[in-house]
Amino acid sequence: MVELGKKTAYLVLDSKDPRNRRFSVVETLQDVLKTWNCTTRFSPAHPLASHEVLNESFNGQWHLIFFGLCHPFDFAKSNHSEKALIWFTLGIYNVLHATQDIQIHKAARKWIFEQGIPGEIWDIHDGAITGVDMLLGNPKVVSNGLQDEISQFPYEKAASAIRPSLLEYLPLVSATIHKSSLFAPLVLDDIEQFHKTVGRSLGDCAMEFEALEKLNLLTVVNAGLSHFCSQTFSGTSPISETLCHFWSHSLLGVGITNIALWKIKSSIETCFWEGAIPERLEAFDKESPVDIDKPERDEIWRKDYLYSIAETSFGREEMVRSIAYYSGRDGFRSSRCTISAPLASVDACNSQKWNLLTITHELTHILTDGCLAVLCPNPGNRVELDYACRLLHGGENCSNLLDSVRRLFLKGVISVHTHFHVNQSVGNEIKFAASPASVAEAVLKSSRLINEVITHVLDFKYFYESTTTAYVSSIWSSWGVLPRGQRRIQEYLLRTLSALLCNHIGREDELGVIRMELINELANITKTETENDYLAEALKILRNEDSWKTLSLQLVALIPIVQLASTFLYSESLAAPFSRERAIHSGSDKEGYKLSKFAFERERISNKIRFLLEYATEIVPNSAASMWIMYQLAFSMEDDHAN
Amino acid sequence: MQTSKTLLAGGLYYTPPNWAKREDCQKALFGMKYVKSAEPLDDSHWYLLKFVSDKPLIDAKVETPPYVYPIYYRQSSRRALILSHRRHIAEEFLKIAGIFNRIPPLEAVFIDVQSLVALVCEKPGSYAITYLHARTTGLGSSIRSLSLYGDDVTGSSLYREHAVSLLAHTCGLRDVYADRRVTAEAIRLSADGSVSFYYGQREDLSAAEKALSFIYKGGFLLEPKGVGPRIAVTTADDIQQEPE
Repeated sequence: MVELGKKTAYLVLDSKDPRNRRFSVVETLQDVLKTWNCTTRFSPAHPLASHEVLNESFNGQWHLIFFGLCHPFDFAKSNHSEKALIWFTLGIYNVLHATQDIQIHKAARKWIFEQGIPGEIWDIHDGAITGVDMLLGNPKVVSNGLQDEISQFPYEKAASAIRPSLLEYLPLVSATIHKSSLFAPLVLDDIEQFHKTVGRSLGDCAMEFEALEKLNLLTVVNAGLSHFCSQTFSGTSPISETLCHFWSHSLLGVGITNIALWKIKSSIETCFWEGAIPERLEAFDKESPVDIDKPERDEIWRKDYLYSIAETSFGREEMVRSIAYYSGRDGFRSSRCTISAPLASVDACNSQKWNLLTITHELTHILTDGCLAVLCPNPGNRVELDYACRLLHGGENCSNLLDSVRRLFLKGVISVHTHFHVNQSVGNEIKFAASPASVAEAVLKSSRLINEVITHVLDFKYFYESTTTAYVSSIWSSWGVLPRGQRRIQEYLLRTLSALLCNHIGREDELGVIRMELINELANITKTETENDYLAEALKILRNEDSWKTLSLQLVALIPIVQLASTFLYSESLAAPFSRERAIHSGSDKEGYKLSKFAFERERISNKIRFLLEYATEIVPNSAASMWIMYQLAFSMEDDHAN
Repeated sequence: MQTSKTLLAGGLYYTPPNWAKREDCQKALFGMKYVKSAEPLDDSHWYLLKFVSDKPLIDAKVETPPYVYPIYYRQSSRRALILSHRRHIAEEFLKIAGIFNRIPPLEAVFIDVQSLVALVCEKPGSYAITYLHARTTGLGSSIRSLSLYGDDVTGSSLYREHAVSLLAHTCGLRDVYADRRVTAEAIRLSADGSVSFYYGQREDLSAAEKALSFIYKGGFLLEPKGVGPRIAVTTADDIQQEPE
């Protein structure tokens, strides 16, 4: 077993005199800052727990190897790790091996070479770097003809609006592909796939038609790709020339954390692709209609409609891979082909505030968008609006299951629109005259809230397995760090309650039960999360009878949407791969991982979400705990369903 | 804050007709030479008795006399809950009480767990099923029984699909309004009258009583032998509601 030391050390490179670059390990950030000059770069690192070296000036003759990606257990089981100094970092070169014993150095070097792991060797004398050598590793071969295809891209013929963005994209994607092939082979296939997706979306770049949409796409793609490439590959060879602009990791970058984020993202994308939920939804048009006006306890709300669609009755499009990166400005955000997580998660992902789990919400938005593309009429299309009006007029107009589900969706849209946007003068009775214009207005005005509610319900059910405590803690902790959230508390409550409601639809006093559930959960969080200002306000709203009445009426308006999401967009059977995990040990009452925190062992996790639900739940951010989590994710096995 | 909790296990029993008054019961049980003391518990209607056994009841190799064990006792006019840290200790106490008072053993209150579970499934209300042990019927000999755990077992499609093939024997109940970090399961009970729950604070006793009240009101406590298989009881002698 290899155990990570809990104290942080700082690896510091000083290149002020290029002929006399100096390298040292110091104990505190103050030590780094007090000798700062225009060339200083540093990265935090954690030593082995068995010999926690936090200060080292490298006096005398030393042999250092920076290498990675390498799982600490793999290295330790084949090498005498106790005979050298070892630090673990968040860079792609995630291990630093330092020794004065040339035999130990040679043995380590031989093992790294044999494994095909890239690295960089520094000879150091009295703290000064006297020699640098590279270990090239075994690059993964870039697909045949890919670089030719990129080089022959008709850049000069592209529409003028997108030419500058293409000029950035083509070398950027080339750099990312070739660096991935050398330093992060496991993402290479995804990057190539990503490039294909971008190419398809761009289509014929010579056309001025939709040039602005293409420009928008390229802007988002370039931002995501440059963040990913810079964060992941800075600190790789030549180390002294690849500065990371995330300044607290300027020496070695944060490649491990990008790989961790990438693995979470990819496993979710794979689950969604295999589930083919929007495609199954479209295939509802071959199924018999159902009466969606039946009461909440009726059996029609309990069937697994998605799973009942035969695999042969729909086609799957090619899997879309997105780019994952960290961003201080964007935080958790998704677009059609990028997904970001906050920079703070890099060193604090052990805490609920900066837990990477929130990425499930962002990726679920992509699923929601796919489903809404099937269900929602285009407000600018008269034919679709006329059809929507017919469906709204009566259930007898539904000729198949897809019509029934669309009717339910439209009922939800009207219910939300009339409650939230129309001034009701006749009690609580819904008055809505369905016409193409009124339906279009309702869709436009309600779509954001409906999208959020569906996303919350699906996130809660697919990823949190409808577990109230984990879900409420996770989302309210992550909201707690958002600025200016005070004015959105009512909406946050509505979204949370909508998700909880799907566990209790049809129960006597269902709203009273979820109100009490949320009060209990939020009250529990306030006991530990004393810095979260929004919780007290949320509890005040829930406990006050008048504000609860308002909230509960809004919830009633959302019931059709909650029913739609939990019955027609969720499938227990399709959700099974989301929670499957080989590393779980189970008993009769409890089950869980048998991983010791901070230790690296033979056993690897496969389900990243389940692992995060169990381990990324601390209140206080801790860099060692966060690093351990990032390593478990980055070196996790492929998911069962993907094998 | 989470308090440490101890499992209390035992059973629900009918008190003998000649112990109709609470005082009669208490006199017969608390006055036995085997009961060292009987103190009210946590300002509730519960009593904590120190039961002195003639023999060791947990581990003869380790225990030395006097063999003192706690008995948790709660009584209504017709029924009594008798619990200890292990079920067989409560049963030994009952056996001694019968011999000492020269009465037949107290009769267990049979519980219609099957109907209780069916009701919670068909009309979900203030309780959800957290544990279910059931014998299977009509599935041949490949599988004879199964246990299910969860926040809402009867809300699952797995249960619903197989409900007709299951004969529920034991179930756990959760109050859906309660904070599950404080009380994850209010009570667990079996068709033979066995009862258990985790006790750490006053609220746990109240939660168990409230769940028993729900079961009583639903008519799931079966009358003693000879009266009939299942009769909805309409008198107000429910444990929680009984006037003091």
